[in-house]
Amino acid sequence: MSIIPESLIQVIDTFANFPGVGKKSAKRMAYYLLKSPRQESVNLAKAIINLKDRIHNCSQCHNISETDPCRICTDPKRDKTTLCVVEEPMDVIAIENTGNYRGLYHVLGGVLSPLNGIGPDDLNIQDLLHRIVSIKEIILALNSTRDGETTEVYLSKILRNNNLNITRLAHGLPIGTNLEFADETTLIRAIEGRTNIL
Amino acid sequence: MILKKILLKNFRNFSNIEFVFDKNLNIITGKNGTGKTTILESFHFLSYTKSFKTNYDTEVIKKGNNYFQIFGEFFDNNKNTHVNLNFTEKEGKRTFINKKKLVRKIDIIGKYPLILLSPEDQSITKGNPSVKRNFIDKIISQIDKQYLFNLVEYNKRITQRNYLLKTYKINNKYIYDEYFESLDDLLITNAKTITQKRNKFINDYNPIFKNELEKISHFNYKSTINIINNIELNEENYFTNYKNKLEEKFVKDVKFGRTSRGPHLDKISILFDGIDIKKIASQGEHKVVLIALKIAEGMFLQNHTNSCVIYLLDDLFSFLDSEHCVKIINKISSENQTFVTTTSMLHLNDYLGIINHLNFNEICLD
Repeated sequence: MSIIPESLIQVIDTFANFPGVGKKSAKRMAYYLLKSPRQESVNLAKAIINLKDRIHNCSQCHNISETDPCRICTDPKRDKTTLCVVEEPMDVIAIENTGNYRGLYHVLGGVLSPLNGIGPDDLNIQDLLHRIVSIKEIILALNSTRDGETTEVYLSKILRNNNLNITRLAHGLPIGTNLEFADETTLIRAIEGRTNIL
Repeated sequence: MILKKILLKNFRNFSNIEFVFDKNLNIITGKNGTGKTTILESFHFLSYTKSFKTNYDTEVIKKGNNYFQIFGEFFDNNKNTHVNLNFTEKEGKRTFINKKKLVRKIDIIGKYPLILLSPEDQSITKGNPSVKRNFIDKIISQIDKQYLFNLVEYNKRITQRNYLLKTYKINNKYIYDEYFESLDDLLITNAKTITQKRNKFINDYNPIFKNELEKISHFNYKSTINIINNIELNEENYFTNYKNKLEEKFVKDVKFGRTSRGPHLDKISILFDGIDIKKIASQGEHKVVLIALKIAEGMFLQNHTNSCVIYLLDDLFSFLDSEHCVKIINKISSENQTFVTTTSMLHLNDYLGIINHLNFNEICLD
């Protein structure tokens, strides 16, 4: 028998399942809740239930949203002829934070990954094909990982014959870093993708 | 660059011992199990932060202790560098260069390049083609990071591809679809770089190997290293050619669950007068060829990195006749710091020629 009460163990085990949280951190978080006022726990519980009840996937772009279609898809000021394809909802937030992109999004919900058994049917690719009728340019903004690259090539193949301009993000050096700290692969890509000045 | 001295604490059978080395030839003698190879193993720790015999650091701790320590003094460009490697069961492995803690392993690997000849290496000349591929892949990777990147990517993509082939078999899908095409497009890009660089390497390495073999041997054979690319390197049509072959073999590949074409199946062989040495060479001839391969490896790395390599020749004299021994020792130790292990000096006394005109440092462990 453990000396920790069962209800506390339950909370610790739940926290320990979170990404980036180990057993020790989970314990500290659970003790914190135990010591804090009851209202704080009630608020937390309510917030979590709200999260699950209110947030859905937008039926058009598959981004997370409280409305369907989402606010980006219904925004009249958005350029409806440009579509940016990303892996996860978090990527939409990253690009939105730049404030520079005014087109629409499409969230794939992952990338092709043979070893994890994720094939084209497991991603939101059919919906993407339905959406392209009114689209002129597709920007593939996937992570530059092995699986991300495979997915980029795959998408460019199945989208090819639709009279679309298909682009992908540039590979290269992060702004404000020193050349000497860049890894070789990034540098090679940056040299290959060099551009003319003026 | 040379290794001046080394201090071992709780390392295998040594509790606390210091060795001082000669800048040319060092001969380590001792009976079986006295720790000749252990000394070479400790050098490997300093250069690559790991053993060449085991992947488990705890195995090298002397029985009854919970830590080991290796302290080495290198001499290069007129200055001494102290490398200190500590391993404790609690804190793991830590390396210090001139008392400064090493953060990234990559900062020391290759800084003090060693060329190791161990009895197990004989499979490079005797074993199957994959051993030869690994041997040359390791050399090229050390001087060409782009090669290493493409090789790692290629191997991972082959693993992915084979896994997907098996999934298709289970689902009874025998159609070469866009998913496979996408995987293959990227696979071929990696494969082309690998093939180009491998062939160029063989071209550059061949004359060095030939030259070294002539210097250390008394063979009358014309020797060459030959590579037969699984996909022929044809600059313009490589992509379409390779892709057609993958498509052609697709149904068969799904059945067997593996990729039957590509540079992972390149055939490398060593030839004597055009015949594979696996068919004709004796034990001794195999050994001499292996040593020539290793010397050529050292020369090649030196040409590309501008740092002197150290040769570690474990059990050098087995299978060799006296003429070969003398030629090898003379050749290597005149240019590089060399460590040789042997069970007895009797061997050497047979070759009085060496002892009379060559200075060397004997480290006797008996």
